[in-house]
Amino acid sequence: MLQVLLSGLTVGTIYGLVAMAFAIVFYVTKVINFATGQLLMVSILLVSGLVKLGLPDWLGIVTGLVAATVLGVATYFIAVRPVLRFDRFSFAWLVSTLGVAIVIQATFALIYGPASQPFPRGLHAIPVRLGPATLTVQEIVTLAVGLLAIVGWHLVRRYTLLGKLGKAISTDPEIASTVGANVTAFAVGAFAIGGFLAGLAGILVGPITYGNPYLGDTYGIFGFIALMIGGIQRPAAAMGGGLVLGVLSIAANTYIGAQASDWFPFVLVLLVLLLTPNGVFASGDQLRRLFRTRRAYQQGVNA
Amino acid sequence: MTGMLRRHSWIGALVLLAAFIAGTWGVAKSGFGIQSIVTVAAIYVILAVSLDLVAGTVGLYSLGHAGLFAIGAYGTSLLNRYLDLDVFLLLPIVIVAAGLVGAMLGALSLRVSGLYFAITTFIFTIIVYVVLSNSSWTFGLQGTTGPIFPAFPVATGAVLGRSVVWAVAAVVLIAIVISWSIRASAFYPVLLAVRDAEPYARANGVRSSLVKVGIFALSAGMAGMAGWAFSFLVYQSPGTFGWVASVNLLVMVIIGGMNTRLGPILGAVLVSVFPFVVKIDPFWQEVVFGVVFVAVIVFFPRGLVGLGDLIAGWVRRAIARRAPADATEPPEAGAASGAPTPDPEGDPVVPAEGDALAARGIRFSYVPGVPVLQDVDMVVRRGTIHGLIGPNGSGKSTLVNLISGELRAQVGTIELNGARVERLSSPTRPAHGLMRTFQSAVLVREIPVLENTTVGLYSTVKHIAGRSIVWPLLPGARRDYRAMRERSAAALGSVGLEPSWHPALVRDVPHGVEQLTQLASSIVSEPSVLILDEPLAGLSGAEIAHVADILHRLKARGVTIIVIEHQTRFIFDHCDDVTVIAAGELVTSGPAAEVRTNDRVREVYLGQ
Amino acid sequence: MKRIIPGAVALAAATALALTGCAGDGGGGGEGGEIVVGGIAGTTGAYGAVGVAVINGTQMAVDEINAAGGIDGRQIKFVWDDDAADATKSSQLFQQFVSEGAVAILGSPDTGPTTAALGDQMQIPVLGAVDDGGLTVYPNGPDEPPFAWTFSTSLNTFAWGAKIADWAIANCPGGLAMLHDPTTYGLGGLAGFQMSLDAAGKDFVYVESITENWGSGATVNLDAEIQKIVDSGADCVEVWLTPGDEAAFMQEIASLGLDDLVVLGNDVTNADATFVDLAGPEGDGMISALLTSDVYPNERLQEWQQKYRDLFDGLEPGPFAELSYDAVYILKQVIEDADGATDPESIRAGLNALTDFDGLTGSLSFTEQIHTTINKEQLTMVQWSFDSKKWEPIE
Repeated sequence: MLQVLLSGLTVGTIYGLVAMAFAIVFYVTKVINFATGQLLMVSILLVSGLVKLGLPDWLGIVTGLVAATVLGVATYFIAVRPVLRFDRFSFAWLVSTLGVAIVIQATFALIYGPASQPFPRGLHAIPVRLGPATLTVQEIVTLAVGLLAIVGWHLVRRYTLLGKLGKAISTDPEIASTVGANVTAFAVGAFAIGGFLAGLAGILVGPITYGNPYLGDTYGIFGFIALMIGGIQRPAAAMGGGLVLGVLSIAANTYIGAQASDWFPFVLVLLVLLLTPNGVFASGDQLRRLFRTRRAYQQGVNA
Repeated sequence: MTGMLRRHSWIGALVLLAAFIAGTWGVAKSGFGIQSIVTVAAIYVILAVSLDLVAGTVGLYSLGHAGLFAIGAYGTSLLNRYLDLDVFLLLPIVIVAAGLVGAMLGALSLRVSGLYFAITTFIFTIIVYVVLSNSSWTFGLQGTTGPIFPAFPVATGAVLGRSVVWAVAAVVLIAIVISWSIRASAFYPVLLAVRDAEPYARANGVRSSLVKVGIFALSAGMAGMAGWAFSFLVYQSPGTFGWVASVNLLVMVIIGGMNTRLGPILGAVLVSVFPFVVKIDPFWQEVVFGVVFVAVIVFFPRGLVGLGDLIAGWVRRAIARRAPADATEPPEAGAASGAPTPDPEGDPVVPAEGDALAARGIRFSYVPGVPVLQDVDMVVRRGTIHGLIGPNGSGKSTLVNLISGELRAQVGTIELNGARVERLSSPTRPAHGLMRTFQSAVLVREIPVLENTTVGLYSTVKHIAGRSIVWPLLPGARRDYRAMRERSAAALGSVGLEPSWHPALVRDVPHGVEQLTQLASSIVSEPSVLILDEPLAGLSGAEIAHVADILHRLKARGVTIIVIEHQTRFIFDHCDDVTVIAAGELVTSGPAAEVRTNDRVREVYLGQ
Repeated sequence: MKRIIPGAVALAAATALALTGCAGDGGGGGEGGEIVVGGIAGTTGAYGAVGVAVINGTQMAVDEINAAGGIDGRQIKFVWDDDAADATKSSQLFQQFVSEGAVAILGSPDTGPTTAALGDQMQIPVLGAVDDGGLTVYPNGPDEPPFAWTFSTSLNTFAWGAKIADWAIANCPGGLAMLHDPTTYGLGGLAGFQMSLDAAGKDFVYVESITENWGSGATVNLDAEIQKIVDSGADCVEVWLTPGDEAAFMQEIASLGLDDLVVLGNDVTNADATFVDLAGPEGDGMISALLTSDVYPNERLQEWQQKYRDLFDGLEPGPFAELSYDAVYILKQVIEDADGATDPESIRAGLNALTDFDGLTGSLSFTEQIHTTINKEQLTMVQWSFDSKKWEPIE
């Protein structure tokens, strides 16, 4: 039971970090960066590649994180800014960020070949017994990073302009710019944080999943699903969605059957969505909402 | 002139059809290789067109289309295999099955909108995928071959080629005809209004929920139809129907050009044919594929259609340079303040008997325990202009939304022309003679002023939705649309909008024109009661005088008008009666002159 | 509407013209000209290395034969493409190659069920690396007839399953557990195990199906499964999963201190270096089976392997390249035996009668009932030694 919970939380933290990377970008720009999973892959493969060349692990890790961050920002300038300047409300970014994802993935496949590369085991080789459960040091670090990410985001949201103005910028850049906010700088900041979190998730999951140019697909999908579960409006809730997905998957594997994680979390999420249409963690007043007689959009009429 | 154009469009359609048949024949007579590329691309054309129908026109970004597609494909294969059903019988079966699933999915996710609609349908696709890959009766991950499509008799086959190509062509044609018909129908502006301006659509009698479910079911049926044809073409395995396929479909629509005739077709062809045309090293091929995605959308954010428009623009300019045409002058901004054209002669709409509207004892709250309106009464005499005023947050808009059915009161009665309506939803109001406008003009920005106005006639013309899928083929429907446009043009004229404004897109017109367009669409169906929610917001002095003039002319025709305004001078100058509410309670109601001198009104509202 | 008509009409008309121009192509390759052979393999995706090996091995054989004068004086034209492990694309490629006149389709190691089924439907011989034999070739199980048009020279899940099971029956007194993926690949391995277990009157103590990420290479969390295997009391576990998951499994049990658990692999575990690279020191002790010809390579194979490395920039050869190379020479022999006839029926008849073909992968035969060349008698049990960096024979 404890093992299920801990394993689930560890796996879920990875999904949650990717989901937060999605959500922070969305928070400021109202864009879902579909290349987020590929940024995770970039950090993993760079570590694999550099360590193979004989560089120390820490240098590989720093390079991986920097590369993911830089590529995140590059995605903004190449694929997002041009389409948003044309029409803030179009969905063109879906195609352009997906295009960037394909380019990153295919380029890394060209360079590294399609097969998986080893990743330094590092802290993952050291087991720690916690009562009836066993975790590795790497997994404990993962849990700690997840906690840090939530706390860190809370601080950013409370005490920085990015956090405070994020919502305002996404709703109306013109209003934001009248209060002196440089919209581009905020968007760059969001994409950088997104890239960094995805890269961080990569470093944490690397010893478990190894380096493969196509990894972005799998982790991008799980991160996206976690985002859906948690609700897209609040990055901290996205982390919550990841934890829920992780624990539910492991619990389904343990108590229902090995393939139950293919469907169980989704069926549960579907039910939850139909009850609370804005995501599990979207707002605290979901129960109150249930008792309301009118639908939310009609308040818009009244506004 | 119009007759000639119409004949031309018929000729054009016939030529297009002939070219389509010739193309089909060419493919049917060619080799397997070309057939497999063209027919699979054609299937994706159907899917992209069907997705654009929900995503582009009603704004429902479905990620469920891969699952619906699977229902069509696996439904055909498995029913044929296990029950030995005839493939032609299976076509209607899978269309209806996918359509029903779509309707259920739509109804289930109605309360979740926008992004969460996408998520619900996304999970639907995942569940379909899991069922397909984990069940032995679907042959699991291994997949299955589909039925073999019956060949033509030998003699026919010698002329026509491979039969399945014709079958694919037929379903593609059906999908395109349906989609293009809807785009040419009077239903199209209505759908866009449901997407962009739902309250406006509902106030015009559109049952928007039903429309959304209906369109999604239609789109789902088309996806099922695509699956039917697909089952004859290639080996089926669950991987083809995963959620990635759903995202790919959305990519096809966006890269081609969303909410356009040709966009989804071009996008589907580009994405599905690309790997067979660009035959290079597979790794490089993927790189190029991704670069093409980014480049197309960055340089042409409207998609390939944007590229087409650009080229068409060059060509047109090149032609225009050679032979300068009698280009029509673009309408000048502010033309709205020109002299209003005379009213179309019309009889008074309703006999002037009794009260037009009576709301009594209205109580309402969004959150239990926090009342927004408490025991408010408002009675509007027929044929009068009735002002409704109150400070910000006093509950005016809530009261209007209760009257127009957007909201439902917890306690109280509302009588409209003698009929009790408090339990009926807003789309029923036009039938009781009520129309309304909204504070900030809510119109569809990407279609012309005239088309926006036709939405106001939705409740007066029968079977617009039902006929839309074959609209251009029905002489009656075309006649109706013509009549709707004529009445709309007259209504626009009656609010003083010159004909030069009628073809202008709403996103290009000044605010005043937008307000007047909304006014026109609310009077085009000749309602007996009209509610105007802050009709003067953002208007210039001349424009305000113009609106006042229109209101008095409407009143002269017997229309009862309720005006919500902040500009108290306007209210007291032009209204017969005035109702004042503050903090959710009735302050006073009565003839304007009396209300104006009421002490409490001066105190709470006029601040004197 | 009016604006788009001229363009659309022009487009449609041009398409129609272009297509009617090439109407009537397709069908078998004409006598006397090139012999077209189609190749389908997944060369991209996480396990694209297998597809690359298949294409390389085939290309090598084709180039050799052409350099030596072709088949009965006719050159081979090898047309191939990446199927991206996608059934739709594989189907389209199949039809495309057939209409280009392909006399046989080689592959696919990634969409075997597709090529095998289409071979039957279109009556075109399918040869070479058709997935990993097993259930892909015998869709209704090992006791039922195979696809009539599919002839696999590929590694055979039935053979590996049965061979490894035989070893486990003799060496795992505490019981045998199995994790397998749910595709025909994993189910084929399961069927192979079941054959040997049934013959010995035994059964698994625990068996479970695991959804894998063949496309992305991401590993699957197996914590819950490891616990259940330990609870089952098994002393051996067959991990019939991707090389990545096998490596992760070995490392996970090392972390948990489950050093006594004997881990068994599958045919892909040692088909290339993916598993041993990923598993590192923790991969030591993994047991699987290998083609005897690869365990004790004869002079001819050694020379061939050196030639392969030279041709492909030092790329390590493996069984998938070898068996694809064999497939082309089998096709050559069959066509030559039929006096140059390349119609599908002649090739199929020739393949059904293939006896003791001397290939890199051993002595290969087909019959009407047996459409896989590799059986368990051609395999040797091996164990990975991290110290010697070799798969050491353990029989």
